[in-house]
Amino acid sequence: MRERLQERKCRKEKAAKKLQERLQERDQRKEIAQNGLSILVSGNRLQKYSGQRILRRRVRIMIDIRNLSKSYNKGQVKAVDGLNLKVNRGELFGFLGPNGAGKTTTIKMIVGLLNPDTGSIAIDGTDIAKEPIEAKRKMGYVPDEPVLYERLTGLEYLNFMADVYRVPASVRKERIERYLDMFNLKDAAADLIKSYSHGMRQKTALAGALLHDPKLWILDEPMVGLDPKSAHLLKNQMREHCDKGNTVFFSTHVLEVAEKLCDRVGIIHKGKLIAIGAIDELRHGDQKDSLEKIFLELTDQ
Amino acid sequence: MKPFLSFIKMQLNVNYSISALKYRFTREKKKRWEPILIGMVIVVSLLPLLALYTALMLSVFSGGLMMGQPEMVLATAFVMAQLVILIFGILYIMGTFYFSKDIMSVVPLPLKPYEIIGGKFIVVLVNEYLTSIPLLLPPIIIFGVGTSQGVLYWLKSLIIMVIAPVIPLAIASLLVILLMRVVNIARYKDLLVIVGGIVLIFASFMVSALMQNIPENTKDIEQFFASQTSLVDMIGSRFPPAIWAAKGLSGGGLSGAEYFLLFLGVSAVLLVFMLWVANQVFYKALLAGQEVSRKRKVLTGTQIDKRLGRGTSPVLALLKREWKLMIRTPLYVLNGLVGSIAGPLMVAVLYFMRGSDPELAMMAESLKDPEVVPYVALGCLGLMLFTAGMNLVASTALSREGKTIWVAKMIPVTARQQVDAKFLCSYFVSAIGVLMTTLIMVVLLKLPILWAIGATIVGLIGSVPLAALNLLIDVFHPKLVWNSEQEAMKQNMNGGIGMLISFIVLLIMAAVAFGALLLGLPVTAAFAAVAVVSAILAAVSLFALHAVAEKKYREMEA
Repeated sequence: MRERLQERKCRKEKAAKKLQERLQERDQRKEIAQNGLSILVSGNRLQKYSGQRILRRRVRIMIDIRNLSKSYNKGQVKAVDGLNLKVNRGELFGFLGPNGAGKTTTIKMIVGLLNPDTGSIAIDGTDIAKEPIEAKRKMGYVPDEPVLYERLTGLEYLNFMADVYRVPASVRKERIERYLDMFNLKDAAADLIKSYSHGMRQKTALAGALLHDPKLWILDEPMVGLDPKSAHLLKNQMREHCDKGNTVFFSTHVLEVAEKLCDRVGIIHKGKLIAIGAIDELRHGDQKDSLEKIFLELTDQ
Repeated sequence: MKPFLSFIKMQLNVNYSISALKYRFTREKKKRWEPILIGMVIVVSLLPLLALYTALMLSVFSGGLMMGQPEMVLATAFVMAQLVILIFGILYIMGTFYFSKDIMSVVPLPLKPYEIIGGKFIVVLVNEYLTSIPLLLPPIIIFGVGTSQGVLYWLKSLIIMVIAPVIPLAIASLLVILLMRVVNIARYKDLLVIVGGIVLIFASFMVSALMQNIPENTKDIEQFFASQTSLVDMIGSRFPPAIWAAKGLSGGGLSGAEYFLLFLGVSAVLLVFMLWVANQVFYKALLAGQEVSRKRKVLTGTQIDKRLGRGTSPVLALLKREWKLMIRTPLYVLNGLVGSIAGPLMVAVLYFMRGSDPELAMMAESLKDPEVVPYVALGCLGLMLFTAGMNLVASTALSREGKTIWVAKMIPVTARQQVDAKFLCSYFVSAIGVLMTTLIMVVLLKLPILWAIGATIVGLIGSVPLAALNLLIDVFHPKLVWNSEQEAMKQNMNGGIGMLISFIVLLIMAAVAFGALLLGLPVTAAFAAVAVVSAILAAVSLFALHAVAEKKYREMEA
């Protein structure tokens, strides 16, 4: 009898504590919603965020990877090994690692091109395995080697992507024109993709992935093959996209780009996440350390 | 010499996927059966043809023996083999020398043009053995055994079989190299594939029409060939190497040796000459062909607006994509659209070729009899369904996506919708075949309109399960790794399996129709029975297609 009473008391206490926490959180949210918040992003840059966006960041995780594993050759080669990773909404996240570390395999699992052996991936709360269509609608993906339909014109490809992502006719033309202009593709849009250079294909794939204004961009080595101007424009686009509360997750070998652009980076090595955090956090306070040095130290082990 | 040899080794390795096969046999043990099965299917399907050819050659030999010219069988075989190699070699050489995917990664290697051409030539040569040996070996054995030749004959024949494709291939190479130097064919590559393909289809029609003229019993065959000696002589005189090879092989003593050496010498001289010419001009034509021209037309806002249209549903967008990719790829057009209308077209060609044939006149006459008309309509239905079942569009629909399969996996469109679009595209092609048959039957055979409409409706219903089952096969086991469109469509096992399944379905439908007729029911009842069975098969096959697609698309990795 006494044990039961004690148990009930314990439960009540727990509930009261939870309620108190919730109330505190609500007050915090209210405060942030009214005043906004300045937080440290990418190195020592301070950025003021509006209250509503901070709220979304706090309550929603855009990519939630749990215990993800994938192996090839009947388990002989572990490409991704028990990966846990959370990417927040509004974050520009750089995914780094040496060749063959498991970056592309992870990305392909996030977008549903590969099936994980174990683990789960949720995009904005939607499990990619359980509700793939819903999850895919929230993403725009550009692979490292964009193999497109050679016998469609660039414009036909973009129109096709707009159709399958159900981009409304009212905004379709404006967006397509914007990206054609931005990536300098206007004079090639009527030509078959067959005649495009690698960079032009990359830009066409990028435009196709951005058309439906997805909450999450996933870009695998997006700078490869782009000329300096296009790369610069893309970096601006990525930043702007995040500033609107969306998320960008991209893999890269160019550490300078990651250093300058990313809110946080994750370093993967032999299929395992070996470091994650803002660049400053990875420096452990030593401002002289470049990302390259950190990267080399971590991946040398 | 060493780089050249290792280049040849690499070329042969790539051409026969030796490394890939080794990998498959040592690592992917589960998939071992695939190449073995493909090999067995090819051998088994070619055996009857080989038996027929051997029988034909035996008749030629006995015909020649009667006239005291037993070597006629050799001359015939060499003329035939070398002409086949020459004709097919032209397109083959063009593809290998100028359009193969690896050519641009080979050019920067420290190899001379003649070494590159030499390496590529050897690959073609080795491939041509697959054609030349089946054509030459039976007659060589027939002659050797029939005239009890000694060891020297067999030794010479071995050498001659190895050398045989060199002369026609060297001539084909010279023609191609010189032609490419003068005309920039690369620009018209797509057109070339279509024209070449249509020429081949018509050539095969002609051959099949000619074959109908060959008498059926052995005696008549002997006489037929005896009367055609002048033909062999004529071709032989225009293409003397065939005669040299035949005389070099069959003749004993000095004269035989002379012809034998003449054949070898001419082969060597032609080969060296071809390599010399290639060394001079190969790069110029190759590099000119690599220049890509674009229209570079800047689209205005209104033009973009016009081209974008209003936007459609995902299924319709996928269908539009399927259709555009198909009709813009010459090889797919040839094996899909052209293939689909080839059946009814063949009927038309035969009709015009044998316009004065009394049998045909009798048939046309009998069509006036209202008793006969329904049976002819039933026959038309058979042709329609055959046409619908034989095209490769459905059975390679998913395979054709190849490396672009990542798009299918990435887009937020269900597997069901994706296969629906593929089904519709394949069904359209089948429907074109059905309607083409209707048109030819109505125009040429004057089939009464009502019966034609009836047959067309049942044909259109019957095409549903054919397209759905063919597509199901491809969805079940797509061939997504390929390097050329040829591999995706023509060298795809699913195409063959699809045809087999179509045959089975056609047999079921035929059995249903005959069953109805045997029961003494009217022909209309047979039509109705085929329609009902087709509808049931359609429902079942579409249901199975959707179920398999959901599972397979989920499992598929890109």
